[in-house]
Amino acid sequence: MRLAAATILPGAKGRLLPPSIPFAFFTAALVFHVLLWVVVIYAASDIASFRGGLGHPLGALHVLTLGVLASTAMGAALQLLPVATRQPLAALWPARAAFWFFVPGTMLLVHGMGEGNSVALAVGGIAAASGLGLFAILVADNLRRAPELGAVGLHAWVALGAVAMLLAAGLALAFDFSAGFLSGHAAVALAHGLLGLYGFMGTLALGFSYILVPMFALAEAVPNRWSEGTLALWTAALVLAVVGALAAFEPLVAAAAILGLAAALAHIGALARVLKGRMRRHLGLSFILLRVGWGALVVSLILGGLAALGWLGPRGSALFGFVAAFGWLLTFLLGVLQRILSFLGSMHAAKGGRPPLVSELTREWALALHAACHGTALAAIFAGIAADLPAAVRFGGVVGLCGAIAFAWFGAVVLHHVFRRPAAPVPRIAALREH
Amino acid sequence: MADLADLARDALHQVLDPEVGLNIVDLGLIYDIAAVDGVVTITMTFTHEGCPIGPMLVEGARQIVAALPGVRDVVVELTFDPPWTPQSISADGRALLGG
Repeated sequence: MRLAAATILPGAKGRLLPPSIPFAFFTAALVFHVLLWVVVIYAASDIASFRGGLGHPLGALHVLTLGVLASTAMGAALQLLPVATRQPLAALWPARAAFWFFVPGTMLLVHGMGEGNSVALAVGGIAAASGLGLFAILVADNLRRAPELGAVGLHAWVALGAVAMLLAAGLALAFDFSAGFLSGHAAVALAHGLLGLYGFMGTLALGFSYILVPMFALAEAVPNRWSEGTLALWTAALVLAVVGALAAFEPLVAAAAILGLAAALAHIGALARVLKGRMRRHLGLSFILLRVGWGALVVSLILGGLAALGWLGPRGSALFGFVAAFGWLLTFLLGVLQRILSFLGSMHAAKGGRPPLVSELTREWALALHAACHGTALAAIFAGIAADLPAAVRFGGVVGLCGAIAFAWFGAVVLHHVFRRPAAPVPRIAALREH
Repeated sequence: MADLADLARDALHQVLDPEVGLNIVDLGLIYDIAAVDGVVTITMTFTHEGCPIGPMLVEGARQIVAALPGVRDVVVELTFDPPWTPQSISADGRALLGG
């Protein structure tokens, strides 16, 4: 297939969003990341013994999953997907509306969880769900118009399916705290958690990896057949896990963890092979975080299986949740975010002229400080939960906060480059025509 | 006197992939350059079809070649056949990447 551009790439103007949209989500994620560690410090004594239910540990979990992870995923998907699909978003207003529903809604929801305020839970839950729902509709519409997207598109569809189910479960849980209509609140909560961590964020992380890892490393892509096979295994594991959780049938959840582990190993193995053949020797700090994240994914599935069988004792589920949410998803996301913030910053800062190099937008000292603090925080909090030591959790929170502030500084540098001059004309690109 | 296509190739060395820090010629993204009656046709690719930086690279290539003396128009053709592979990177490019 050969495509031509008379003036250059087609519809790029429509596909490259105004920077205010993706960077609003990224800025929210950076702020929520700082807030996350503040809440961890505040709730340290409850986190070590967290077994579910309302309270600040649940709030902290949602600052992470909604505030940091989902905000980043929304900003990145809205920016990158139209470029990958070569289809502009249907409209920009739903993307802006999604932000204004989602971010304040998340703050209200977290407040409701922390304080046990049923009104804040309901209003915040509806607002956050509306924002996430708008985002999901926008993405679904964009994917629908690009059926040739292959494995990455399939990952996005699975993630969207998970979003629909997790929103339904999440809203039911939020209202159940005041109305009490669910007969198995804990079972629905577990299913909701699995859908959020492994279904929505996890599947998106797997799918985006197939584009971003080879691109960052200058390597060949993973063959479609392999990534599609891995996705099938992953989806089967997810379905089993959710059914097992809803039926409160622990052996099924444990079996799902084994299946998920096979999928995760297939995914990581494929990316390891990609990295082996890369042309870029020095991958930097971001890939250290990615590798730690991949390791934590494997550990989370092992812990999940053992916790389901009750072999990890009373703190098993807290350990599992911590490793999955903080160890895998947060670590992976921060590794990716430090690369995409820089190159999206470069794209938007070009403003029709020579784009600044990604290296010019990066602050290595801040990222190194962040990585060191993040690793220390993970180790301290894991030990704190395992040994029921609130002081270790609090120490981890303080160190994590230092790292988050360093990461926010790096983000502020990128934002400064993007917004320091008036918005520039985006490259004019004529319609692509196929030869 | 240098051929317009050669001049265009030289000029394209100034277009950098900001993520990699390497120019698009050494990165192996330029498949062909032809010049006929002042119209320069550049056939190029991206490292991956969904490369988010791709549109910016195309625009950079067009602008820099359009500024050359004797160029009346620039046509950029985008192709993914054959797809880019790491082996497309030049020896100079590999050296710069530490390979």
